Amino acid sequence: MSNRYLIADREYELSASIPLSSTQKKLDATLVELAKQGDKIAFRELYQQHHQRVYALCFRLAGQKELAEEATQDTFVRVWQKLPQFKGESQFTTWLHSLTVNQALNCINKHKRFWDRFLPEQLDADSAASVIDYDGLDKLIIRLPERARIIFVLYALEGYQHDEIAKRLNIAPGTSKAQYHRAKKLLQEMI
Amino acid sequence: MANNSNQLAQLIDDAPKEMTPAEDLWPEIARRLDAPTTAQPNQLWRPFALVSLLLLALLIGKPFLTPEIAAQNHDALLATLAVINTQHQQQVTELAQQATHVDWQISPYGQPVENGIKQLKDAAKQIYQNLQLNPTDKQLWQLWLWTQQREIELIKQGQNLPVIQQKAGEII
Repeated sequence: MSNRYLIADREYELSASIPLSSTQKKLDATLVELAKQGDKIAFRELYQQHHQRVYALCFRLAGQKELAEEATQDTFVRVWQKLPQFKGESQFTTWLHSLTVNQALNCINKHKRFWDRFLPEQLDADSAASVIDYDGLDKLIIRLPERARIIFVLYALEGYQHDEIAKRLNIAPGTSKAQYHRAKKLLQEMI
Repeated sequence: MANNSNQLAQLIDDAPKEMTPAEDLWPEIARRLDAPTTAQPNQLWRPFALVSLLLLALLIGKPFLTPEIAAQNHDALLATLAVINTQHQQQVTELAQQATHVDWQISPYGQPVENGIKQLKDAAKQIYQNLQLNPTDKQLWQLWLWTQQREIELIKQGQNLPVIQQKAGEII
């Protein structure tokens, strides 16, 4: 599957499926070093370089625009706070990818806990399904149940393995596989 | 079904790696980067609890310490005493500021609470003075910490008292 960009050292890059150019890597490294020293202009440039990819990942995990926007903002605020801890042992995009997934999942859980007190699950699903401004796969995955959607996105689009997804979501690998097949079946029915 | 499977694989392959958010997300991010990271008011009890815990551990371990170490700890205890006293006063001041918004003193039930707080304050003051003279007295420590805790509890209870609107005057 060409869009799964599992790289040799089993890390994931928050870039396009084509490898990052050396120029892009150098630019990232320079901007990161400046941002680490508190340079907000450099940090804004980092945001400009990567926010569309971060937003795409957040949108597909969250399944709705508002939550994706909040998760994207949370991610970049977290990046700013944690930048001093980034030692450059992995690529910045790899680090950013991991942080984005964590932040998006936290954001989803936070909202779920909050809204669960007021709304039945059905209403939540309806609000996600009302988003019609998307094409192709994105139009379909927002109609998936939350757990199945998250697992499908992480496995099919982001290249995670089921045992890694299981660890992230604190579930059994078998549950991850079952949810992936459920999502796949539902998507095939939707097509 | 096989056709659907192929179509799904194609959709996955064609899915764009990037999406543009409908709104500019940077201004909110920039605002949050500038926001100072201050401790929340409701976390003020944490340093107090930590110091109390350390103090309790120190008092329990006192018999095992050598006399020389105990003498050194004398100064440390006095310093700790002063720190706890300051933190307690800060907490009381903050609660008093909240009271200006709640105005619980005009409650008909407010007077007994105020009397209780005053008695506790007086008792705590006397215990504090005695503790300064004898900072290794475990029972005095426990009594002093209890009076402080009780004072805070009473102030908080007072702020939750019902207020009669006719007598309330100006309530913010």
